[in-house]
Amino acid sequence: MILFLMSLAYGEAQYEKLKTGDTASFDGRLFNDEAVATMISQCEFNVNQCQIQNDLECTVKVADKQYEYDILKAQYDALDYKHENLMEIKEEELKVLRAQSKPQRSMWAFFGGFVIGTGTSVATVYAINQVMEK
Amino acid sequence: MIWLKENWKWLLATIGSLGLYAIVKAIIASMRKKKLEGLEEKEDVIIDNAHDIETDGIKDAGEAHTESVKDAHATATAAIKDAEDEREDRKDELEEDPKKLDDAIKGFGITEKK
Repeated sequence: MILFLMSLAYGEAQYEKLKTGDTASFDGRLFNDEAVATMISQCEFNVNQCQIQNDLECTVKVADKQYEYDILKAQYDALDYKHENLMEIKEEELKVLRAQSKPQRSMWAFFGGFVIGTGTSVATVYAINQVMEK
Repeated sequence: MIWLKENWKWLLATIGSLGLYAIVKAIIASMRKKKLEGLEEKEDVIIDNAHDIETDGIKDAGEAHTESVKDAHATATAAIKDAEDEREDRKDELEEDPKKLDDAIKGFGITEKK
């Protein structure tokens, strides 16, 4: 048996080992070994539990932040993909619309059109003449 | 009228050429329109794909988060169980060995009165 006494008389934490029938040298509370072992093991358990709780909260917080990051990344990836591809399409669209509103007519195209038009007219007249002669 | 009688072939040929020109122009315009429509369709597909990318990403993030939190809780539960077992072992250890009990008490800064 151990006498576990918190000494008030000496103003400091003390304990004294006692056997049954021994007289205590200061006022206090008597615990048996089992009670002291329970208190110490519970105290150590509380420290462990606190650490575990702390680790859990940390892990959950990290998971929450990772979740927020993943969502932002998903949004960013989608926007990046959309932006890249839409820019390409818009660029193509602009090319088509520019060609439509301001067609580039070079001198060659003009003369080419003139020659083809004239050629077609002459060919048509020639074909009509051929048909008329027959 | 006489002029028309003499030159109707040329007039017909000119009108024919102009008609051909109009047809070619219409074909080119139609091709451009088709191209623009194709681009619009492509745009819709890209918007849909982007939406899918975002949805999949959010879904994956949610699943990963759930798994992480689940794992964290499972780890904590297992650790608490181990700590409880450890507490019982420690209690037995202290009860069996008075020297360890003394050391543990001293570990709290409590001195033994001789």
